[in-house]
Amino acid sequence: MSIFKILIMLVLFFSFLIIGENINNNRKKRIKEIKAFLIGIINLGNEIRYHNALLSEGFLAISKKIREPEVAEFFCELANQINLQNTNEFYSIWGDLSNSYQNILHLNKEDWDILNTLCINLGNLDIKSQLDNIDLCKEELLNLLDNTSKNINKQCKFVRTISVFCGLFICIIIA
Amino acid sequence: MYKYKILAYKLLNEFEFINNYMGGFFLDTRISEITNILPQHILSEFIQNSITFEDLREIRIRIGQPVIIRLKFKEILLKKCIVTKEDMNEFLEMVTNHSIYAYEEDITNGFITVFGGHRIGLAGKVIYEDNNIKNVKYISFANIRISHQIRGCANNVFSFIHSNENIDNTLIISSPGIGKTTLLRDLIRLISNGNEYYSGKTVGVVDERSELGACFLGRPQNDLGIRTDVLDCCHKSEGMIMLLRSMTPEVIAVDEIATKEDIISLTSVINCGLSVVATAHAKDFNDLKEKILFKELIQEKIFKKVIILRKNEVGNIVNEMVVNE
Repeated sequence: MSIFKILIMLVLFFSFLIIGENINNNRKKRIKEIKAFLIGIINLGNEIRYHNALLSEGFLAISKKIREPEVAEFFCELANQINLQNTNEFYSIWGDLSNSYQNILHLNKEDWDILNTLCINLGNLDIKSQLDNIDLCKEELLNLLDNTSKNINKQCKFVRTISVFCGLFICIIIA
Repeated sequence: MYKYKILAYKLLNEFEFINNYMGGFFLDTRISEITNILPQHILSEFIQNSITFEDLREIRIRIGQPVIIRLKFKEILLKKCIVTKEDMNEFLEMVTNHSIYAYEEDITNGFITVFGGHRIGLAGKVIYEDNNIKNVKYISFANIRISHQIRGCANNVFSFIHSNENIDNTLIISSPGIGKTTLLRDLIRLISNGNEYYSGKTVGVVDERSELGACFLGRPQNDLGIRTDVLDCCHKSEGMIMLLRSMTPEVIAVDEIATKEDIISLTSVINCGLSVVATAHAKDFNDLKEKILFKELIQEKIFKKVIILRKNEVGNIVNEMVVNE
């Protein structure tokens, strides 16, 4: 077997390992981001409950309390967009921004759906209904987080094993 | 063409300093406080009329009706600009910064104060709960009242309310709409800042209807001076006592004394050695003396100085200063 062949086999093997790790990282990132959104929404509720804060003030305040940089940036940008005196409704501001963050954040459709449901009525209701909505979203995110966290270790191990086996399989074929 | 004008307005809003640097060449900066809250449809018509901030007094928005702009000397009817429900929704979104819940209390009071101290009166269907106003829905009428602070209008009464270094308890009276609040606002500024003859004093303002300070997000939009503390949207009777306890003011200023509770708090504040500057509704000094609420205060000479505002034959506002001796 030539050295060239061995090199190709190694490159392919490690490529599969990296792809597997990448998939795992994205999943872990997703969980971190869901957690960050959950913290953000809890804090938004607190800001509204205690300070009667405007949405822009609330989002700006929570952007400073979240550790995940992308999510913090998302909330900060949202506050800026609202402050720009945008003539659109809040939901369309949210929609535009969430579309532009689809590739930056690692959330999937299910996660966005929960957040979108909250944002349909955000800003248009009285404080009590607003807080009820936030509580509902909090519950849903908690459930989502629970379900995703339970399986994450198994899924990660599975993906890692699959990537190793795929790498080995390709190497065997080449050999 | 007006699309470019709208763009220019927005750009100027972003780069306000350029406009200021050019001495308001494009537009007077304060007009953007109004254009920022107007729905796009109304804004485009509004801009076409080249209205200056100085002239602007009121903008009336009613669903299904044309927009009416009241200027200093005339009224403009935007016939082409019939307000739709969508316009009103957009307007409310802008005014409340997409957070209508945060203005619940203001809406039940019937007005919202926006940046610049402008007051937006709202009317629609009132919803009651346990005999209290819970909310106003189907908001279909809005009135943007432009805030114009007239600096210096109290210059000639400033020395009158002083006895040596102290400020006497002063009552400003007039019929509605003559300018009591405007005079009181400027008086607060002068008392707070002081001048070369009188030193500045700590002033506590109880601003029940946000008319004096026109607070937006807790900050007064009108200049009330450097030594002024404002208790915004607080009942006068409670506010005076709160200020007395918490901020140790030398002078307390309140607008429109109208209830027995106000008088009780006012008397306790005066008994604590503080000076009070207040306003009340009355045509003249005799009318004031006849009012049950003020009878005793005047007879007991609690208010030593009374400033009466009225319109003269030509329509100009003049003030008469009476020493209650």
